Amino acid sequence: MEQLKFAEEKSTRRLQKLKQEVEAAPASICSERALLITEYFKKKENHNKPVVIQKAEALAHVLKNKAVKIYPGELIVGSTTSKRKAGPVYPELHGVPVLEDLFSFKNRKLNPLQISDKEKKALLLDVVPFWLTRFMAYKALSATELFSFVTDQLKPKFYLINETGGIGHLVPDYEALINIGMEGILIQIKESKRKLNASDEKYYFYEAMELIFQGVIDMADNYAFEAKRLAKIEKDSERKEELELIAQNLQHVPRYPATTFHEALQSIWMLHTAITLEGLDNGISFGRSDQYLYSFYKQDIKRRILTPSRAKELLGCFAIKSAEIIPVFSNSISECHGGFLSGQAMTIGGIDKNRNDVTNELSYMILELMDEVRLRQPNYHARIHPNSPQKYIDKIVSNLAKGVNSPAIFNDEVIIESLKRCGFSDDDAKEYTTLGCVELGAAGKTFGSTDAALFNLPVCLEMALNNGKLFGGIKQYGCETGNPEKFKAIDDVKIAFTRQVNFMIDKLVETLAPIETGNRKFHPTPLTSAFTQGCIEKAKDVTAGGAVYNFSGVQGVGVTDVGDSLYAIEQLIFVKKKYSLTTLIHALKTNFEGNERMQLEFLNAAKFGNDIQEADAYSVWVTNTFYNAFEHKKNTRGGKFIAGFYSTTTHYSFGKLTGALPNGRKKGLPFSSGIAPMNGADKKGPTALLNSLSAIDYLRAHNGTNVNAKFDTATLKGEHGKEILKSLLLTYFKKGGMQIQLNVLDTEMLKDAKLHPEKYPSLIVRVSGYSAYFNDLSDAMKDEIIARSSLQF
Amino acid sequence: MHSLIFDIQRFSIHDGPGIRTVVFFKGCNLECPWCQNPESMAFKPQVAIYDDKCIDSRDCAKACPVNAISFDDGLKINRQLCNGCGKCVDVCVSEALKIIGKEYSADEVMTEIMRDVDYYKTSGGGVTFSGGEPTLHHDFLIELLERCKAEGLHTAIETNGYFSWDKFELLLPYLDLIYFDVKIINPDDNKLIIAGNSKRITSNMLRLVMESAPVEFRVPLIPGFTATEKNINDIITVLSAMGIETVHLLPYHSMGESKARKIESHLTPLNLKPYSAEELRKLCLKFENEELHTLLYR
Repeated sequence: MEQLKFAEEKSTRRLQKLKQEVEAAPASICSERALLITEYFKKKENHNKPVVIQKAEALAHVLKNKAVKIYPGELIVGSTTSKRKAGPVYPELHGVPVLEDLFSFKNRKLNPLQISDKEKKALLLDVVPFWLTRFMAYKALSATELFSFVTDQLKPKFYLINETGGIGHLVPDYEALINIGMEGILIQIKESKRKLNASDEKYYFYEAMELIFQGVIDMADNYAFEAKRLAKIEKDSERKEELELIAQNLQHVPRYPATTFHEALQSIWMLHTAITLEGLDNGISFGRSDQYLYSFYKQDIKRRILTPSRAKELLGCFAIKSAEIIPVFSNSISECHGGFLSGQAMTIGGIDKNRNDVTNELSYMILELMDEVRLRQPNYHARIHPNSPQKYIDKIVSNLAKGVNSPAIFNDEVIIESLKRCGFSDDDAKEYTTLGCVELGAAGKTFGSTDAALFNLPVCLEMALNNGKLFGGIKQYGCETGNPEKFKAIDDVKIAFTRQVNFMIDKLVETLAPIETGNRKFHPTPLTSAFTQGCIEKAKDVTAGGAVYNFSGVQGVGVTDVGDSLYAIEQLIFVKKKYSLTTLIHALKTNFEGNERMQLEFLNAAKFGNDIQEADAYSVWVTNTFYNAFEHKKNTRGGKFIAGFYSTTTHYSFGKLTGALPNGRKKGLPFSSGIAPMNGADKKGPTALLNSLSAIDYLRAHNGTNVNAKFDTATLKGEHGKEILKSLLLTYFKKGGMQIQLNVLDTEMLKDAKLHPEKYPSLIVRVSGYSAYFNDLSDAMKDEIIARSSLQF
Repeated sequence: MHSLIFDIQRFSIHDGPGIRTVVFFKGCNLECPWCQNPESMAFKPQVAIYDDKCIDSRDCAKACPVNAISFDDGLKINRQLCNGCGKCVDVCVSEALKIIGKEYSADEVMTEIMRDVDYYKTSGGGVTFSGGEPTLHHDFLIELLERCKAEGLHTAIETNGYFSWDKFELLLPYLDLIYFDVKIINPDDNKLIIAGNSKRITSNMLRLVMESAPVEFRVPLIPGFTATEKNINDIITVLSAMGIETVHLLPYHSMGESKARKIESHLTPLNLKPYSAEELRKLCLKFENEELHTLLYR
């Protein structure tokens, strides 16, 4: 017993130390990948090789030659960069546009990144000049396309295409990796290759896979070598043993099937770093870790070579590694995706093919780790369903009530049905995994390009009210939908809006096509493909449609801004006839200057989020219009376009470039985030909000949605608080909600909420005997609540 | 049947178990100077002024049928003239004026209540009738309670205890929980400070306890008013004599005072200093020492 306690304390100390080190390490840029890639591509002898071979050899070159660092106390080793917490640079993809900001990374206000002068110089002299005319978008697009692409996409007005950054947002087949090893996959590759001769293009595809596999194995060998070296000089006998074990693990995995729980985690981590270095370090997710690791766990426990606390320690070491990965975004992209978003999702719980609950010991360990090791990554997601165990739901809720803010919760009932409707088999839908921020798919089978693009809905209303032009603009961006002064009823406005949306989505699909083809032609990803089912069989890269499931996900941004605008137009112009549409459009064009009264009236019209069906119906209509626009649309991989509603921070960047709206929002201000109500417009509390939100048809939101409710700790303290959270969650899901994130804010966050009220529009706090919106309180009251939240009694 | 209601608050989680909807009736028969809901006192609709929102359009003054609104010294309403018709509120585009109190039919109230029925069921919540003094709307309240019970909802009431027993008895079968305020025990002090006869309140307390009604007692801790040495001792004596084991303590805060200004209530702000954590701990201890378990609201 005593010994057990000692082991647990040691494990906690290790995790806390690793966590602190990762937290303390400065977020940096690492030039290593960029330099190695450039070195490879500069060599003349490589120029005539098939592209896929070039890509494979280049990646293998990076994997083999990258710095090898093992940090003190680590049990899982491997890094994507040479620094503790950093992002690699992908000069062949979005790297050149990203590096335009080389001089400002260090001092920018939003997500600053450190880089040494020496590295900066190397990037400037060796990397940027070489890739300036060679990066993906440059090669994929014609001169005029490129010009309009760059001008459009540096400050995206209508939509933001993310796929130029390469591909990410997928869950590699980690389950296959740990069960059959890279060798197991290699057998399939060799088998397929055997039938072909060397003149066949497909031959090179397989050969490329083999080359990268060797690169991954070389990298693992390097780490094994380093672990051995460190073990030799290590004075502490316990650490020496650990290092020897690490070396032993890496001599075995990821090459061969994992034989222990520890090996399984190490194997996944090695491949994860390699895949991250291949494509794009965004949304590469772990899948249902509690499921595929469980047989290893059970077997090791049975063999008495593992204790539950050791398993948790290993899981913790693994989770901490994921927080070392930082995405390098340019200033303009950071504005769209703020907060170092890297979206490595880990999914727990849910049902299996036979509809049985699959929650196990590992699910609970992962829930405990969320609380004990609170780091930016991984993105923890919990699946729940009507038969989820009480204990599991209680643990989730207890995390949330404590202010852990993890996991986000996903509704199996709705998601499974939604996935079936967009083409997933019954079994795959039931076994779905989450990925990235809130997206969905079948692990190891899906290339969903879930973050292909984000779409600005309100700007389509702006154009509907100005015959296809922006307010004050002369360029015909949209289609001609007629002189709005002649609109006689709200339906005329709705028709014009629908046509603008359809027109712009056609354009988006058109703009995306050469990027998809560009990725296929210039940036195939053989390693990712080897771990995506369907690719080896079809001899097709994921970028060419090799995966079993292919989609392109597009997010609608500003749903409720449009919904509320339409409702206000209907009420004030066509029902109450207080103004003419002409007067309104004039006021919008002049940003309500001198029309403040009118602005107030439009602002005060009922808004989405207050459980008022007539008002909510318009936002629901906007979501349906958006879904409809993608019906029958296909990407160049033959996959469907699917819609989702989450905005990362594009509601801010799109908002900046969009004119005044009839919901009373002035020009340039942010839109509402995700599918949330207008900032501060939901005034009837969370039950009303959730009722409004559940009016939306999530069965068509195949790409996922994000719903956020925020409270302070005092509101939800104790058992009472947990029951309240549980009730909100379960009732919302019973009403058809898809996903929800419940945040309980601690003192530091409340202080932040006081400084940045716009970030916390619907934060509910307990005042005294009742709850109020934080932003509605005076500064003095806010201070009182902040002071109170830090009291422990 | 209609009744004057000034707010229906959803997602209330501090007025009984679970997630609740609280129906606030307007009008009260006591005049506690620390009242947290001063807008609940009068039995007629009142217009509240949020002058920081006023854009000086003066539409309200034009709309007022009794010329009660002036702008000589900012937006002011002559409360003697105002009949609470709300025409000024209808024309105000900036939401600087709000009507406090609206006539609701029982159907309308039930519609609002039923919007959150799923949340009551999963959280063990329900409906709480508060005020003002809800028992003063007796017939309407009975109708609502009957309908709530027919829907299987948990029901609670918050009362100041100054009611006639004969009428309250009729409500009892429909009530799952009664929050009963205990303020000032000494009849003379009570009359002086909050009007009304405290003997009636004390005897209602006793009746409820004797009937084994599901009642919980709540004491607002107001420095110099209810929280005097003497009154606290009186409260402890009364509660102990009745065999009560638990008491809820509600410490003073000044949130109600800004609301009082908005309706130019005759209540003068007390501007008392809220209790420190240490002081509250000591107050709790007084009750605890007499074997009364305390639930402190913060």
